Amino acid sequence: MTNKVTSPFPPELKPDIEAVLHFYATSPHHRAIGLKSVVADADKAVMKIAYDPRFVGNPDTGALHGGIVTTLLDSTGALAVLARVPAGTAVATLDLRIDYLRPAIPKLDLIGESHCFRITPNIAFSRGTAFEDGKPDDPVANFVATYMLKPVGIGMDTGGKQP
Amino acid sequence: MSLADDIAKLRAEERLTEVIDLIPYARFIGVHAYWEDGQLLARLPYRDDHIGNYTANIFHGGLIGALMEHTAFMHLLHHVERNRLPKIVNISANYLRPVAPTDVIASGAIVRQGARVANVRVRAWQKTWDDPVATCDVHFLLPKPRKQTD
Repeated sequence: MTNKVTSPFPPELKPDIEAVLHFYATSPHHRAIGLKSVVADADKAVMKIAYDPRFVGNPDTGALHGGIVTTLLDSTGALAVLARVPAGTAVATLDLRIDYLRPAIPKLDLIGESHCFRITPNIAFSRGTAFEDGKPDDPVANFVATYMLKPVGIGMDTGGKQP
Repeated sequence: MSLADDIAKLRAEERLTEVIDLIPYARFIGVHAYWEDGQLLARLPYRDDHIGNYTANIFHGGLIGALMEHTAFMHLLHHVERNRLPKIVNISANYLRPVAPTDVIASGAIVRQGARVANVRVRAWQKTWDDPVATCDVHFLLPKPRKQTD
């Protein structure tokens, strides 16, 4: 799914993957559910969440709730964007669409994989899938989302002012 | 008893707001349901570990998606009686403004219900209904209707 993405930003403004990974690792909700970054580069972002009985949506089958899949894919899609925009750019989800293709198999870890396939000065586009660890060709969910970009500070509120 | 049986029982006893107690993930995030002015609402209370972005101090978007998905499911259970559970097909969520660290409320409405598919629209807000923070369209596949035996 890799394709050439032209960046609207000057080449000297590079992403700071280390800062992004630190930001992700210390996000309170990521910590609460044990959501971990696995890969974050210009080609793709991969995140992983361990199966947990607290995340079950249907106690009859043990299948995970859609909400945990949404959280995994929203974060993974944003990580794919953060890995290719200038350091300090804030990213906020504008919209997302998820197709639930089949229930996730209980007790298996879930992987989210996303690719940012278009960036403009204000909006970035990501798409991806969720699948059980080791089963990338048989996805549980398909995902596409758009993200708003803000040029200063990770999530920093600049009060409408831009440098 | 299966989840579908448990839900049918709650429905018959007009205790659908307790569906949340049957679903581990709904309990985990702390969402709860209640009636207000004849409307079935769901509330996601603010918790420190609901924050996705601590610099901006806003909820994780996935949780708002989860709240809206759960609201749609509960709304459909209330309005459409079937002996098995509807299956979620897809969601399309719009994030309209940053979700501040206070409680989030959501309500659902059935836009269209056919024989096999239902479309439920959900709106989430914090201050007032007419100032939404997010909306979501959810498609459900409906099980076959209960056979009439009389």
